[in-house]
Amino acid sequence: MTEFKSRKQRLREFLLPEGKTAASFVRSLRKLAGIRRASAGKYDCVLYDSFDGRAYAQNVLLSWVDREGGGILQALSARDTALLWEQPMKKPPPRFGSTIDRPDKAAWLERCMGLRALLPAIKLSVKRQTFRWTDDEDKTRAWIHVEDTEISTGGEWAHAGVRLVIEPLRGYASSVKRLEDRIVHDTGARIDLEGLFARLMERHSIEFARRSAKLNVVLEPEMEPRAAIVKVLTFLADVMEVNEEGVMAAWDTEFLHDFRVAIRRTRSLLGQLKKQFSAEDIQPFRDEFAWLGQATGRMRDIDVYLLEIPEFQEMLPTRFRGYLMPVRDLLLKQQKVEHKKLKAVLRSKKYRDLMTRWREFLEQQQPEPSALSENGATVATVARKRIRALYKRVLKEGWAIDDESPAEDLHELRKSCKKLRYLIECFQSLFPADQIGAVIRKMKQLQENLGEFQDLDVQIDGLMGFAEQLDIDREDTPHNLLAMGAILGNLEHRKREVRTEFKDRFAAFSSSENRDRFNNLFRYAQRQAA
Amino acid sequence: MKVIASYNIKGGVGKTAAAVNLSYLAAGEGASTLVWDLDPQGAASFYFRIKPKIQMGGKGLFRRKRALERVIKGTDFPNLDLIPADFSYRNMDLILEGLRNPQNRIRKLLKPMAREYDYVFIDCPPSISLVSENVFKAANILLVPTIPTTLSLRTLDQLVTFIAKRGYRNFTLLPFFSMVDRRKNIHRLITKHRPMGMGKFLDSTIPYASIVERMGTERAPLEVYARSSPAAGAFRSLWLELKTRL
Repeated sequence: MTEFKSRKQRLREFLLPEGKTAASFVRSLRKLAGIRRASAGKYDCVLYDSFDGRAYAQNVLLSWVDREGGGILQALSARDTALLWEQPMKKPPPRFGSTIDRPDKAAWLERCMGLRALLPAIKLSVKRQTFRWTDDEDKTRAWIHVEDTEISTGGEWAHAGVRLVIEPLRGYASSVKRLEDRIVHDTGARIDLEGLFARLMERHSIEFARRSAKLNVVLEPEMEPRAAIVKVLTFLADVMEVNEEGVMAAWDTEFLHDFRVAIRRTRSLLGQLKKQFSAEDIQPFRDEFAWLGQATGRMRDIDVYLLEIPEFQEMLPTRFRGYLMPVRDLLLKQQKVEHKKLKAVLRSKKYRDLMTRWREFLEQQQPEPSALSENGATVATVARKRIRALYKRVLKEGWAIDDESPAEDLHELRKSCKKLRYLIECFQSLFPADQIGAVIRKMKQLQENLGEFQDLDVQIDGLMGFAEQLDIDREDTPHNLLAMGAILGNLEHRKREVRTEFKDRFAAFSSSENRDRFNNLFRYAQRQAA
Repeated sequence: MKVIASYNIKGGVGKTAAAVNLSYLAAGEGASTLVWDLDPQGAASFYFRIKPKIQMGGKGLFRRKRALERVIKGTDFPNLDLIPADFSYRNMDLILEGLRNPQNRIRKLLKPMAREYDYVFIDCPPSISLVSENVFKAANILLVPTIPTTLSLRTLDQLVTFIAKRGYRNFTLLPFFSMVDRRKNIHRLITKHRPMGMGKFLDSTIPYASIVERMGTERAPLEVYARSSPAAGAFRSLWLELKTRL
């Protein structure tokens, strides 16, 4: 994270003495020599992050300040209040940092945020008085800010605290240290190593955790199976609901992605563990979640195509890259249409009813004492049996694939792997973290290969479809088609490579070493159940 | 990192004004920017209110490890730092002469700055000397403020000949007209019919204006105290044009 060309700058934050207001502190401050008022004003400050707090996870606070003379985006360390970099920015930061016109900072934001948008996390209103601490040339040696901060909580403003920030200019650190000592001595202020923004963000980070789509539901081995599954399903329903707003607003493509993964996991669990419920009860839900998956699929396909455009462009010589623009424009148009349809789905009575009934159903599934173990099974037993059965299926399907096997066989294996992976992830808390982690890593390697094979098929089909939709009478269309042809050639070539790579990936997955990993898991679960 | 040297054999042509105002504009865009006030007169340091003194003196710069990093001072403006002038720079030729590979010392000193800065502006002292030869070796752009007079063009011609003779290829020579006084016939004439064979003049010109001279009393870049003045606008155009040549 050091590629941006800037030097980490120490900012020191202080807490005011107990009982001192900003005004009374300023009076004491102004008694010190060399302190000159620079500016005073009220401004908005917004702490930005992705929906799931990716910057904060890397100990970075992104603050955009809308102050007089132009706004500024600052990246601050959440560990020690140091300034990592800043970028003048008159308007609030764009949703995707990659679009800012400073390549180093754009790249930093892109790496940090991935596909996620920058969204306002905390809104503050700051009354700031700024002072300069100057030398005898009237040169600023340090900026001193006294900030009285309010935080917006659900439309109301609440007092968040007063902070004193000393920003030494480079080359004046030793003299500024003397100033800091004087401030501490004369005014009773105390050094605040953590800083107000980091504290506010820490409180807010509960939200980030709540929004995570990562399956980290903790189950106990002796739980009644249905209760355990209901716990996972409830988590998945939460994921869907928490992402609804972002899907509706289309802030970034990850909202829909997480929403759909939760649907798929729900469907997979209902399919794999159907015996835990009455078929009559869950069949309508299985049908309706299938509908929801289908109704949200087209939009996701378009999102994926659009995300792939830069990759496709890379496949072409620089001068031909522009010829893909009509495809992009076509996709953008379709994206608008599909997003409207998607919003209608989420607003529909059918969807609302489904979620209400689903929640009611999950709440009703409390285990009855007598039914705690119909056949004496705990969740650990059920998990072991189901994972084992699916694992065997995956091995059987994989071993049956040879160089002559049709692509459909690989697609079938991909689906089985997905089901197995979902199941393992749902029940991962029942197994030792290192063992389950190793198993998941190996699964991922195989799934990457199968997934890429499938993606390439979808991309090829998609490009063929777009080619048919281009206006044949347009002057540029032959160029567009040639560019798409070149990409198709690349994709077909890659597909052959991926098909060849499958053999090695599956050999690694089905190796005796990896089989031992799985068997160890099963033995562990058996011991737990016993 | 791009090194832009504001240089002319002649003094009083607007070198410091160019270095100070252009660096301010670069920093204002968020680029991490450093100005090196290499002129012992210390005008750039003065404009930024920074004392023209470095603790280790000119000699120390070439002897101590990470010397430049130690002497950098932050200006009052974000993203903009300065290496102050020092009176000992008047003897820099002598200091350099006593070192190995004396023509490459400044380039070597600046090299590690690439980790931190996007642009380094060097405010050079006038005359051709070992210092300026060092600057020629370090620069990517040699920005030459030129007053549109016969004498100034003659000096530019001397510079072009010198550069050609020595075979410097690492920088682009970019002269531009500075302190242009539209009331003077010769200024109008020369700016209209640009001389050939002296590097490609930039289109932007900087007017002769008392507001620019006020930098000395305001001790700040033009943008700070006279943003809407034509001279400030001229520096903005110059910066925009210069960026296209980087």
